[in-house]
Amino acid sequence: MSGSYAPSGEQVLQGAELAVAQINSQGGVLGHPLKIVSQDEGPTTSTAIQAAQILVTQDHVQFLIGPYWSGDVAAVMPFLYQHKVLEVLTVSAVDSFMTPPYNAYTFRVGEDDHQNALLGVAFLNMTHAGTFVYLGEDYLWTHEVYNFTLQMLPQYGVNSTLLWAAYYPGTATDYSSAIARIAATHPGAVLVYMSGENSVDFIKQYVSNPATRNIPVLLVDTPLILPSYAQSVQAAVPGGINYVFIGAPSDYVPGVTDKFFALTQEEYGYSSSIFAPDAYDAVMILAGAIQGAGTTNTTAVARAMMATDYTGPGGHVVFTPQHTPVVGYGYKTGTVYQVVIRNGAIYDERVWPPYVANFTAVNPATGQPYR
Amino acid sequence: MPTAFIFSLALSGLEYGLILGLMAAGLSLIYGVMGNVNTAHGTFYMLGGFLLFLFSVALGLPVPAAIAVAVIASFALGMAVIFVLPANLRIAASADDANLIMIAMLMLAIAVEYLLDMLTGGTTLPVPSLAVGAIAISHVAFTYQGIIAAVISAAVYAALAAFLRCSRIGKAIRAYAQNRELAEALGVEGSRVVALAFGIGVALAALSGVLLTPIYGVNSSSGWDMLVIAFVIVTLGGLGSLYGSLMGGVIYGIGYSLLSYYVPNYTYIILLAAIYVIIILKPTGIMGEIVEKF
Repeated sequence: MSGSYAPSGEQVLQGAELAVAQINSQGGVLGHPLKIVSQDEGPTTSTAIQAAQILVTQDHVQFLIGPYWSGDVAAVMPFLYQHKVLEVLTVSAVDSFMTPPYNAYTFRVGEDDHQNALLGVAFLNMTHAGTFVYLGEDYLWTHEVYNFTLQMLPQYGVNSTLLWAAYYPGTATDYSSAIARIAATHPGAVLVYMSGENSVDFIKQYVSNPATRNIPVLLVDTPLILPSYAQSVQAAVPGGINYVFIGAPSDYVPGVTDKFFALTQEEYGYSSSIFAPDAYDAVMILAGAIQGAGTTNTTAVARAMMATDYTGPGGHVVFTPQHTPVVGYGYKTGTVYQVVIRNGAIYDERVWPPYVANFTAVNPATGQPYR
Repeated sequence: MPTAFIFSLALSGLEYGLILGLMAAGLSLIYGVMGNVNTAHGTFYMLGGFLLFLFSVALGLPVPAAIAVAVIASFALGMAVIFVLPANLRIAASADDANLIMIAMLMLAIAVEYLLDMLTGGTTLPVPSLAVGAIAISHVAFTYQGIIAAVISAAVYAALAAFLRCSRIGKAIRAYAQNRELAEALGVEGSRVVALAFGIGVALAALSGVLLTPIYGVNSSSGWDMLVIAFVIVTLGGLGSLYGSLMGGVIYGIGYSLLSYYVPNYTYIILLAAIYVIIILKPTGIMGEIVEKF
């Protein structure tokens, strides 16, 4: 793995490795041990295609977890379809890829843009925000989430009005103007869909502005869930992170997720990841489907995948006809955390969905739940 | 839209542009003296942030001292890079030489990125600020770090201009940039001037890095976007012109600030298209012809 996203790519691989180790310890699949062959996706779509070509034509891989990036997913899909390679996506969230014919051999276990939108809708409901602002990096997935959000608000009975929405180039680092506009329009809440470093750049500047730092903000798909990032924001603006919520695209399953993270802690030294659980689930689901099909023929396995009803550390997975996970209560929802500072330490408290929440979202100004 | 708000946005852009212009000035200085574009310039911006993190967080120096050490270390690093280059490539005598240096610097940039990637795991480092806090003017936040950074940038511009205008070494650099043969005939030693100019250029990039990365953070790939911005600014202001870099930085910063308010997703497209038109109308850049080199 290379590049700035190598650590999260490693976690995908490690999640898959844990599943393979467990399956092999129980006799493998169809009596054979599973083996992982990995390739670095690299920094461009051409390196991703090259990696897929090596895996399929040289290593004769039939089942693939990944690629990681949506752009790379789109680039390799025709090649994988042509070779009938069964692909399971655990990171890329774009829904529009999941259409015929290419989704015939493509399934998604990880985050989905409906799920990302649901996180925002749940947050607006929780904070009783009468108005909100939607900000995203200017990529396909954030436009999808925007449309799904507007569709879901009435569906979930959430009465929150969009004041304005804006998209920023993925290479942007300075968000002063966006934050000034938020300060000027003063919404009840802000939804931010920026992945990776963009969300950290944004939130540092957001909490620096005295006029915005007290407006609750939800960051979806952010590395802020990692303690070092949250601490860097806290160091830049002490107390500034008080009104920050995190929308994590992975689910929490009591007893199952905790057990999984005990394992990652033991094996790899981390007890929180939004990438490893879905990769683990992807391998387990795939192995179950191969076992169910009784063959490694990918057409038969793809049919068997549709019978999946699996609950693992990343959530409860049942596939829709588009091969994306069913989104909603009891299925995949994602998780909303409120960042809370207690005695100088930062805690991510689980505030949604309600059946796994261990904390009620509070307004730091009053110490009471939002009204 | 209230005038005060637009004024504040422009002021925010001015602050951003002053710091960016400083990095562009380094690029311009190197181009003026060496005759080639330093494609590793963004890497030195990024290294500034890493060095500040190293000296302040890892080694425990106070932030102002860490900034000074990071900039001095970058200056020394810049000089060292020049002495590692083959003598015939230190000054581009032909287009082929210029291309070779550009490629060599590009290789250096990629190698450094991968090296730091391995050392840090690709993570963004929390670089400490000189000051914590902010004031808001008409809804626009001005962090103390940003204000101090802009003031330092303005002071460094003034000091650099004075150095190039008034000091003996500065005059030698300008003379060499304007006419190499004549300057050498008058006793200016080319390789020393080149090393010095490259060191100063790198130090300016690193200074931008130490001033901006506390606001934005830094990781091993942070330099690439900044390299493109620096290219745009020097092209706009005029290659080889210090004042041009200042002007270019300010225009870019204010333009970015206003455009990203009104049409955020088209900011870069409009900005780059406008700059393209300016270059078509005036190929030497805004200050390219009316100001002598530096």
